[in-house]
Amino acid sequence: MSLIQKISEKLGLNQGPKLPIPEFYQAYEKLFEVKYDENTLLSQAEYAIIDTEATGLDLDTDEIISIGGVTLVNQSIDISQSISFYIKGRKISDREAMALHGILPDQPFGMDELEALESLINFIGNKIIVGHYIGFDLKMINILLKKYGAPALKNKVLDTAELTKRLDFPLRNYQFAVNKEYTLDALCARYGVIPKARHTAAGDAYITAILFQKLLSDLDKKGISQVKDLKR
Amino acid sequence: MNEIIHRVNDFLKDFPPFTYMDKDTLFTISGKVIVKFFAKGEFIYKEKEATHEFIYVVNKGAVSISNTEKGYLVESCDEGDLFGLRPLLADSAYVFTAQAAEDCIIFSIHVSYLKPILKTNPKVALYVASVFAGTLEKRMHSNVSTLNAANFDPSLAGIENLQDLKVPVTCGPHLTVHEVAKLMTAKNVNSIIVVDANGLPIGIVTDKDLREKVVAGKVKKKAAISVVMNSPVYCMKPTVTVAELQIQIIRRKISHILITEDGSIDTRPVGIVTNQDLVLAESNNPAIIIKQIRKTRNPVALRHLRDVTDKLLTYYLDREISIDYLTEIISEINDQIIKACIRASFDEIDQYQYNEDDFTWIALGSQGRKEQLIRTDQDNGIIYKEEIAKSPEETKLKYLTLAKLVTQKLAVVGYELCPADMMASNPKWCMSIEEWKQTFGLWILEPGQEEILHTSIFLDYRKIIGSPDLTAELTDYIFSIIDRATGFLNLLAKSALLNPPPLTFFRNFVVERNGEHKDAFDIKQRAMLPLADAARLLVLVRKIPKLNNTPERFRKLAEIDAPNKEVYLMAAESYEVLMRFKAKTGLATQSSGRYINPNQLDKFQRVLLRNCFEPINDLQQIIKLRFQFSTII
Repeated sequence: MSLIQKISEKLGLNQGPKLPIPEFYQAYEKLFEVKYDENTLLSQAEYAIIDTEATGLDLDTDEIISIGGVTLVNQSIDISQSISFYIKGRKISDREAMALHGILPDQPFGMDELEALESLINFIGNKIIVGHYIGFDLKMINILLKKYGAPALKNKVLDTAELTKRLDFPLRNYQFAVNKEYTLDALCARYGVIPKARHTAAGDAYITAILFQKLLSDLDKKGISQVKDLKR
Repeated sequence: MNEIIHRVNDFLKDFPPFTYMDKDTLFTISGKVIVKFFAKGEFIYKEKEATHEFIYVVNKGAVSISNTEKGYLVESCDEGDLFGLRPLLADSAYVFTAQAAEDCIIFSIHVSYLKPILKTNPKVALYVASVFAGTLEKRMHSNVSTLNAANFDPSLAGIENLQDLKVPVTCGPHLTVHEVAKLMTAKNVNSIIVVDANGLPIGIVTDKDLREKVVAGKVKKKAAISVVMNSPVYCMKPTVTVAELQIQIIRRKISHILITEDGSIDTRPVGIVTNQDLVLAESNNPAIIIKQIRKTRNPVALRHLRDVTDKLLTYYLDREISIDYLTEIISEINDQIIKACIRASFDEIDQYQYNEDDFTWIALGSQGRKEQLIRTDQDNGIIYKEEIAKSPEETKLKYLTLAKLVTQKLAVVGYELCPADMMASNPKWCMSIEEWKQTFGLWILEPGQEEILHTSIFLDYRKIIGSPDLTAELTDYIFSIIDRATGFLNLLAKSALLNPPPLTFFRNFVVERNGEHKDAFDIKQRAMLPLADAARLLVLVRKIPKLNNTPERFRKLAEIDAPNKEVYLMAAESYEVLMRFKAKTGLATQSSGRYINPNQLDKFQRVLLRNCFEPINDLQQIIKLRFQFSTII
């Protein structure tokens, strides 16, 4: 995105011809017509635990390389329902990112971008989205949605890093939290999850799901058992 | 490519029966696995519940399979173990209960994926059948003893080795005291077993009972014998060893043990063993070793006797002989060796006269706590009285001379010199009682980090030889200032909290990350120290004197702090298990035994060891509460 594009967007100038909202998004939107029952037990809620890997950390220039996700429904992760796909034709310039993901530049295989987005949206449905420092992933997904003329995601979101801090600091004095103790690696070490296939989207999503189950059980012990209890 | 399926596949492929499956089959199954988390205590299934359509594999954590109705554990399943196989046999209900013994991740596999493999892959079928049979067998023989004793140690021999196992004389409960006394005299026995109409034992009467209760006039001669008898009779099985009998006689302070057909009072008596029978059967036993030590002055000979003790210790450990008994006898042997070295040194020093009333030799650290099962570094000190006829310097020199000789002799016996020089031969730790008081006063009233380190070793002092007045005086002094020492206690409490429980949430051992012992688990630092520190702190706060042994400290705390009784009792038991581990490892590897490789433990040992860490967290909570620490320290 060029600077001029950016500015004009901020000023609401660059509307151009409006793209039609894609069909898959319309179906997705319908799922939210029924108001979510906030009394749902956390143990009974349905979750989509996702992770994305991107070419870098710049929202403006970097792109999603791969997406992974598992569902937690009925307190079970069904491996056959998990997703893991790469997006075709991504150019990875950042050498570090290459080494990190073990991906070659100009990745030849994978799905088309739109196809991947559609699969992801179908996968998520109206489940609660869970992820580790999920904010960045959500922004990337929303940028992608926008590119195809769709509004942003509508789901409820839980962040496992935030939840862990919440458990560690019941008084919410998060200023004492040391951020490096809340990375996925640090939490893996803390909870004894073997970080296999780390830094692949699917691998990280799976690990996050395992951590999330442990967190749910700990939250339950503290009397936080309904979706509404998680509201601040 | 889905990394999650790879992950599941990578885990399963290392465990039977999945090892026997071909790659594609296993990969397909891996892709169908359902992953579930169970928090500790949650049930996977319960007895009599309709079977699920899944079989289960433990991915992380541990699951206990038990018969809840009769209350026994059938099996403990660890990582990679298969359980809940009933659905494969088309059984309609579970026979046992499966409960998460720890936080667990369980892989569930639908039976419809497995059934076809069972038909086509005989190896898989055989393995599944054997797991099933194994569980069954365990159910049938839950009491099987796995202990194997070496034959040549007489204390480990069976009771058939006793000179002659006497058949007990029995009588009915309605006989009078007088009639029973006559019967015992006529049969020339010092005990009689009172039996019911079916010949089953209901009580025992010994010479001593007759003396204390009847002759002393507390009970009339015409009273029924059931009034006098001790009930129930303590019984053991015919397969017990002499050592086990000895232990029970010492622990229960009884003089007779009845041998019945199955060791319970519900079967008929077959023999009676007395204290004296056991004395006759002994030869290579602790009492004899102690006797020999007392007669020896030569450190090389003492070393040999201590080696013999190690051998005895090995056998006792193999026999799972109780740790409190073991620590009792091994400490006694250690103490006797130190005494022998001190007395030998008295004789060798011409220029000074030593009087055991004028000083006290104290053992510190683990030896002070009576927890030194195998020889480790020396930690000791001397407390002496100032002598009016001598200058303070002269007096100090007198005891330093003694200490140098004693510590060298002890080194020859195999107790290495302390690398930190915490020994009586160091002028810092060979002091008059007044100096010791000052030192402790300084440590306690103006504590710093190093002082806390010192006190954790020095506070566990125990008199080995000399005047008990000196240690008592020091203890009184410490107790007199402890109430003013809030800062000290807080520091001590903080240091007791320094080592959190050595487990991650999913129950992996926290192993050393660097250095010579990389990937080994430091059982002393990570598990024993937190327990010992907690025990020391809690008895100090309550001013309980003369109680050094960690398990004993916990047992005492259980008596006086009823709300936390369970925690303390568990801590005591855990500490004993840890001592056993450390001693066994030490003897096997000729080391201090503090480094254990978790991967080399068998499943049972791993679970046992993990369970020992449980009370650490509870104790630290008690301390946090007691010292009002917030969650952020």
